[in-house]
Amino acid sequence: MKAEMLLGGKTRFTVLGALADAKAPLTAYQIAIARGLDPAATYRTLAEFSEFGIARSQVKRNQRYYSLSGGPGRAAVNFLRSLETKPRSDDIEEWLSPKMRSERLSKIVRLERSRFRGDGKMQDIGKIMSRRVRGELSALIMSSKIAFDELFEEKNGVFVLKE
Amino acid sequence: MKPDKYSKFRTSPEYREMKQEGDLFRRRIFFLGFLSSKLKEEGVDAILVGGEAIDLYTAGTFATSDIDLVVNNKGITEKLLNKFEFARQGNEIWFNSDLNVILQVIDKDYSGDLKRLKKFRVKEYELRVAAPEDLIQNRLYSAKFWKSSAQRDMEESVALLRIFEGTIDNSYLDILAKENDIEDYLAEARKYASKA
Repeated sequence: MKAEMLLGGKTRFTVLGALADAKAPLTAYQIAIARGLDPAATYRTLAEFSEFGIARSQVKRNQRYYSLSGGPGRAAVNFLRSLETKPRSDDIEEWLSPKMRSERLSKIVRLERSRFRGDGKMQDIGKIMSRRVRGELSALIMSSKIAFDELFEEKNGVFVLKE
Repeated sequence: MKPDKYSKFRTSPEYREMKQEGDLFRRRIFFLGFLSSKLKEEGVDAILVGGEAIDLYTAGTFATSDIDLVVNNKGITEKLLNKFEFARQGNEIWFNSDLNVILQVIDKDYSGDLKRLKKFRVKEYELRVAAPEDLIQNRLYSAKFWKSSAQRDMEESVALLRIFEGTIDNSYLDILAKENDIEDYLAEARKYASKA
């Protein structure tokens, strides 16, 4: 089992690490882009952390900034440090760079061919696709299909959310 | 936009209904439908793209929880989000902590095929969503050229190929793959989809 699973997943693990390493309060968005996290999941994690007293927040110029709390926050970090095995990059400038911004945007809309485009060399797809337990992806896909059919019904080409 | 048209959002029946919806996935799509309809009333086109679009097609199984909305008028959209008590978090991110809904507003022309958009109806609201073929192209391009989350990109592509195997337009997908130099990745994704 991966260490981050003890905290309920990678996002919590990473956000906690970011708060621990921060020299000044950070916004959720800064943490998300600095650590390569999904922004929405980062917001939610920070809301949870605030609820449990792990993080504290303050609003400045309409932006909410988060920092680690002294008690539960520090205790959680000590726990995290005992689990961590590899160093992390803290280079926020890199994550804010045009290359990284383009990469994030590429997941949303199709970009014109960019000068930041990678080499396109074929990766070992078999290796990438073998990171899950055998049968796990198939089960997830089947589950998706069943859940979608339970949620929506198609009427004249429109997917209607069932009440 | 009339100044006070949505000023009492928090006391509106729609808001109460959203708050009462305990399932976050349903609440988010309820809000998205609501927002899309309100944007349409203001003459703004909105299209759901990216992770939340895939989330919708996979009923939350491959959840990223990041809602990306392409709009053709960012100004009106942001005014409306303000009315709906969203706070700006970063340049394009908007968060309503009460509803626990996060949106990324993208002021960019939609890059997929508008004719292929899928329509969803959520209560009385309509939501337009990027076509599976365009999302697959997007993910495979990301897997090949950006590589930072290749596993998730590949898995989502395989999932969409498998879920929509009966309706997907493979000819269109082949054209997209050729245009974007991702034929090799599409072939791999198809191989896994056929086994999944």
